[in-house]
Amino acid sequence: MSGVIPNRSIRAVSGMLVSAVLASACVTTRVEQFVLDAPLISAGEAVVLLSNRQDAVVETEDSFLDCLYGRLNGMKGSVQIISEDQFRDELFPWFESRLAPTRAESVGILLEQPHIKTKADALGVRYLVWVHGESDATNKQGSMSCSFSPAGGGCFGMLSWDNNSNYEATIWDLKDSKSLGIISSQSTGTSVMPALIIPIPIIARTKGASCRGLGDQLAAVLSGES
Amino acid sequence: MKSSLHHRTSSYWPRGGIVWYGKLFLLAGLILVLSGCGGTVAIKDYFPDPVVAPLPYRVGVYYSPEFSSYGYHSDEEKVNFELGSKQVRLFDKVFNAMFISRLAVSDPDTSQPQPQLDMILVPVLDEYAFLSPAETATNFYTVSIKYHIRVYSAENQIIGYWPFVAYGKNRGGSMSGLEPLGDATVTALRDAAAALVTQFRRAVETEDWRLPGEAEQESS
Repeated sequence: MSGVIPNRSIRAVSGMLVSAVLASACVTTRVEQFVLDAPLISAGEAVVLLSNRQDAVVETEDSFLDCLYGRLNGMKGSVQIISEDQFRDELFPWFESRLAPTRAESVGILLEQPHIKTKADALGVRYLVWVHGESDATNKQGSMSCSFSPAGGGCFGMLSWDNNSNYEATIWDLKDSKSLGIISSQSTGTSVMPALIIPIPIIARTKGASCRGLGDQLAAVLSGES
Repeated sequence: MKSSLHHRTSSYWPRGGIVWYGKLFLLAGLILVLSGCGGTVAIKDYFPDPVVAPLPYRVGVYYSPEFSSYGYHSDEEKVNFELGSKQVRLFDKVFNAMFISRLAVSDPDTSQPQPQLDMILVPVLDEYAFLSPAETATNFYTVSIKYHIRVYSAENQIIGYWPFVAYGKNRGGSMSGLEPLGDATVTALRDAAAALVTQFRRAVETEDWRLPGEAEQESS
């Protein structure tokens, strides 16, 4: 009988695999907005998304910025969104972490240099959106052990952990050298991974939820809907 | 009946059933272990042209063979990569943008004076170092590159010494191998460009650099 697997077990394992693909843990997202002056984007003006890389500990993941970029690019209207890589390259090296302005007022001083202003004007940049924050996993609990041998292997146990994603977007107006406000997004959820031979991850996708929350609110503010 | 059942199950599981899956797990485990074993780091060599107004100086630039062919090799860390050509490319771009003209010259310590130049610059890499996420208990690879620029007069007399340190960091993932180290190194090179177009530029304008004697005292 070795090597023979009951049909019922196969269905159970297949069902678990399909469930793992489809299932994701619950996520709670809270989006807050503190915008004093709504941006007024004219035709031909662009918005730049930048991650704040001056923090020694927290650095926004490239994947989050890519997600945000995708959501803003998909918003209504004709607002042009410039990616971080393009902007940093076009104005190299003035937005590297050593030189990047830390206050909206400093941008005005930077743009007083004619060669930098010429470049910024050519890009049509009106607003800078600084994104800061990251996702992490805390409160890890449970245990799982895996063993492998040429004859086979598997894992047994249960793990759980909390996923937290905290991001904020600060909007700067380059024309008036002032900060317009902040939008923040906090997402929390608990992930679990039971294992009966095969680990089944049921992940709380907080980063994606934060991206959707922050991206949609940012899109609403930039397009004048909020 | 047995053979019929076995035939039916093999339509769901590959031949060998759970034994095959065990081997798959073993292979996946081996790949995970080997992915943390180091190797050659790929460093991108694209650097944009710096946006800076040129200073009215004609400079000569000399890259020593140690600088232009610098490679980092560590058997202990199992990390190897070539940095020399990348940093030459970056420094060329920076000096091209910073000065009205740049000329590649021979070693000023052994060549004839070049009166058509205002000064000769010799970049020197003193130390490349990095820390992995495990060493810093963070999620980042951090890189520091210690340089100094030796400044010579057109008469090949050393007149100044300007040290600086460039930093870079990049998020390291458990499955991303050494790619984040390469990206952190590129970030450090870009930071070097930022230091050159601002702080070194100011030093050139005001001749505010250390004298050769001070440099010797510092290194001793």
